Amino acid sequence: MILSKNYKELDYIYLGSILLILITSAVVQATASYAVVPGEPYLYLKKHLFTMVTGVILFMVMAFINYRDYRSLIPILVFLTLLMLVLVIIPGVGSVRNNARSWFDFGFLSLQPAEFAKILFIVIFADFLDRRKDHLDTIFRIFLCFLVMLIPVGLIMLQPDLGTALVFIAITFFMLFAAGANIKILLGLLLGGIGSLVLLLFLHYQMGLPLPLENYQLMRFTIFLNPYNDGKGGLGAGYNIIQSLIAIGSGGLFGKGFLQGSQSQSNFLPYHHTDFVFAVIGEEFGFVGSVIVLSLFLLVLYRALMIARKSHDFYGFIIVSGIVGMFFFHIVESAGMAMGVMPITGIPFPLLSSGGSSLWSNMAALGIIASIDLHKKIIRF
Amino acid sequence: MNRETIKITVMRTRIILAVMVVVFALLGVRLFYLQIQSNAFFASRAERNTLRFVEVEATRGDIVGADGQVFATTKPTYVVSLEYLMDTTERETAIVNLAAVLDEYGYDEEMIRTKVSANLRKFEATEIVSIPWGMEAITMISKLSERREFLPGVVIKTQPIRTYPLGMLAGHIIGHVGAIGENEMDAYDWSIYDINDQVGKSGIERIFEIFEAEDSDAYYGLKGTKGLQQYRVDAASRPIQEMDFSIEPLPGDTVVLTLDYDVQLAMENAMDEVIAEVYESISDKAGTAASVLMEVNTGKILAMASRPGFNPEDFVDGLSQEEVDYYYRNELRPEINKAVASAYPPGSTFKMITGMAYLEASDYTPYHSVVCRGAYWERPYISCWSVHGRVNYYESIAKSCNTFFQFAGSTAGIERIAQTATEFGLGVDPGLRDLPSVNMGLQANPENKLALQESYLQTRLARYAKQYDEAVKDAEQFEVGSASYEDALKQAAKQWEDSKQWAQGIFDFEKNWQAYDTFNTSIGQGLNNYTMLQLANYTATIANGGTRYRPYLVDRIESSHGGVLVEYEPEILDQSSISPDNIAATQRGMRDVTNPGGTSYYLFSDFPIEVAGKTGTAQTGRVGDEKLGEFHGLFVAYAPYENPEVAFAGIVEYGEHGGSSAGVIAKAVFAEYFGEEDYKDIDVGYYLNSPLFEE
Repeated sequence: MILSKNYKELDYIYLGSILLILITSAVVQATASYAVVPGEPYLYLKKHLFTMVTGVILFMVMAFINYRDYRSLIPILVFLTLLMLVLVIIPGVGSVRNNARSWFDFGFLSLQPAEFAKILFIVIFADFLDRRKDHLDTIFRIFLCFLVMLIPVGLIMLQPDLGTALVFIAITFFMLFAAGANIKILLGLLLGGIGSLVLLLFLHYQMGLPLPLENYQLMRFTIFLNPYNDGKGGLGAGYNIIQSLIAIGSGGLFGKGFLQGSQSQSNFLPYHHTDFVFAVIGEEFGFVGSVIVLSLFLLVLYRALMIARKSHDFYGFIIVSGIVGMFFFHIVESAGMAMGVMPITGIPFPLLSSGGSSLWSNMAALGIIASIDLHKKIIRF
Repeated sequence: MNRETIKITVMRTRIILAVMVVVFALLGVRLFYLQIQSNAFFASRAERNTLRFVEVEATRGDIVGADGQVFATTKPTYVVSLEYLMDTTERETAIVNLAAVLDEYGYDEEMIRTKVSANLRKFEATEIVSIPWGMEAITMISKLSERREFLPGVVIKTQPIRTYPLGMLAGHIIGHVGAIGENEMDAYDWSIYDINDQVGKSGIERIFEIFEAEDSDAYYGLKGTKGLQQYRVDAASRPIQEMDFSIEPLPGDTVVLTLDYDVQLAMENAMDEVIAEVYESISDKAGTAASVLMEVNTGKILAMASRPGFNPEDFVDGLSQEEVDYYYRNELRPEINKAVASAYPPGSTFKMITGMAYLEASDYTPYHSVVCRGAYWERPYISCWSVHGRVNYYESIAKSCNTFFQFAGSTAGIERIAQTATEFGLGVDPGLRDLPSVNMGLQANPENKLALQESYLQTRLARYAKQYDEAVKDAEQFEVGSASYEDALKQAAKQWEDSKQWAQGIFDFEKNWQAYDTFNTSIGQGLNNYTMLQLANYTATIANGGTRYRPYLVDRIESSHGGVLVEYEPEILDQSSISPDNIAATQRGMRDVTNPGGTSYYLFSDFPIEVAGKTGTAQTGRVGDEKLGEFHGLFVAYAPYENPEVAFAGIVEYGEHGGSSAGVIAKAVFAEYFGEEDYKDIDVGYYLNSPLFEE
């Protein structure tokens, strides 16, 4: 039941900044996808506008569903998540794009189940954590939580989709942190994880330690440190980063203007309407545009956390933290990759990249936050 | 939520917020570094990514005649090209559909695919086929236009192509262009040329391709200077926008020849008629001829032709099989400009050299006479073609008496004859700088004889050495070390020794200049071998009283917008030491050739301009020809006798008589030059079959 007072006390800054981001998204896609298919400048824009409109509907649907009702459906949601992730890696059911079996292809549209699995995971995992919130103070118990996370991550790595798998890890850290897990243990795990990764790479490159990964996969992960050192003078694995850096760097203070970015419009920069969309913003709208876009997202995330705090519901709070963590990781990874400070993992920039699954799952996630705002308990003192 | 939980919530929210703000701030710093600090660097990298220079061909300069007739020019051609398409399916579609249209022009999918993949400069479209402007081009272009939507990336543009509107006329002089060959790579300055360029391959096209100006570091020539056009390209290197920056190409310069179109045409027509008649009535070896007409007081070449003909137009689109056979599998070597590149025995046309040397060397006047009884009185009694009785210098030239000139030659001595030949440009560099492959000819003199005999000796010795090696090899059929083996070796060694001695013996005898060498030389046989250019200039030098001018074919170089860049002036190469009297006596003898009693009287008897000439009938000197049955016909002449203007030299291979073959060409050329309308039509058969020509 939604109280009329809840409408009045809705966080309109949150909703307003989402609207601004959606408008930005339409503008960015209008220019970013303009030159992707020669002779069909509006092909991707039309698709994008369609997913945006349906995404807004999805947002509203999610907002009006009481998020607490999910808790009674947890076994069904778990089954649904596992079903999706298992089905997609079965050859003949899931289809392959860019060397990963990550898609359900329905002909008129194709969906990436891992995108939706993120949201389902957050809802399920929040319930899991809420039940254990006072007992997250030993390494063993926290480790158990990570084991839960490893189920979807393992399935996703079988596609394989490293980028999305990393998102799950980020989400897990955020949610555990919000759920009150021991900070020292979390920090230890985070630093230990990153540290051992770096150590493994160091040993591989310096000492010849064998790793169960192909050289090009490792290269993609480390090439951002020096994109010209790809064995092909910047035309191999480093090419995308170099072109992206040129795009952003040449944008300057105010950018080259709408449709004026030579790097994007002349297709020097691959994937510029999807994973590298932030480079288009940097090139055509400059430092000012980029900072405004990043600030809008920061504002949305800030308001989301405020909604979570005001909800006075620990379950809601953990959900919001997971969604914030997801957005945060996506933004930092996607923008950071375009700026040459993060490894290439190929995940979309939330709401701005072209692609239906990503946009729908993000809108659904934001809708859940709106639901939390709408269904908050008003505490009267 | 209890109070404790709320406390955790608030605290952890703050920490999450703080982490996010810090990380976003770091991204902002990175953005600032990239977009503000390093903006200039990345901006230039972006520019470099998208800007490409494409060379714009310069139009090649024209080659025109003295009166402006165009011998070589440039016309538009339609070039069908295929742009590089990133999308493989699209590219294949274009190739398959293009092949369907171009099928009838001999292009299939595989050929197009090969061309496309061979093009490494992907931002430039790949040239598939080029068709000169005409009905064929129109048909093809309309077919392509109809199917436009199925031919992504196909572009049709015009491109200049060389053309020779007058075809074969003066073809050897004009020359042709072609792609730079691999063996020519070193000859070109790669800052000006690139690998796909066309360059002059022969004739004027080659010599005037490009050259440095004398007084500046500019380049002149037909080539022109390429322009540059800057384009903005996309990642697939397709030009998407023409930029403002461009350097206009500079058309090549125009080369204005000294050639007189009408005279050239008359010369070539006459040559064709004469050759046809000679082929018909004398020898099926006929087909080759060469002639030159030049101004006696300047050295300007007014007409020059060589047969079999050379049509530069044939080379524009590549030679057909038939054309390849004609140009390169033909004993008559049509690609050679025989007027400057082939030396022939001059025969009796050489006699004026002997005569002038004789007059200079002796105290005899031109009226001194000897008696011709049909042969010279000294061994080996080289015969005269007739019994002339008592003849003096004038009569001997007029009647071409071999007896008199052997007497004259032995009186003058070979040194004197050689010196005179040199003064008149025979056997020395003729000085023509406007054509490639100019032959120096070969003078008959003791040094050349020795050199020739030495080369014969070397050839013989090499042959015997080879024979010896073969004999040694043959000996191996016997058991090595056996008696027969030793015998065979001994036999071979003896054979070799004998052969060497024999060759040396021949050499020891032949190396020395003999009296009969002088006799042979005196009547233009022996080692004497000169080009028609040399004979024409020699005749011109007699005509003008002893001044040898540099022959030239190019009057001036004009820039494409009209200004004269270089003008070529007459240049004196040599001044003869022969006294004016003796030259005048020689001129008079030559005039008598066309007067009653002269060898070409019947040719010029009614011609209104007084012509001084000399006929020649030369032994071909070729293996397989009959020494006393097959002759080349030569004729040299100048006109008018008083105040001469032009000199002619010509040869018709297997023409037998000079006057009736080459002489007919001379007459046609003179008729055209002097505007004698009534004499322009020549009746070759009449002269050729006339019994009046005896020599």
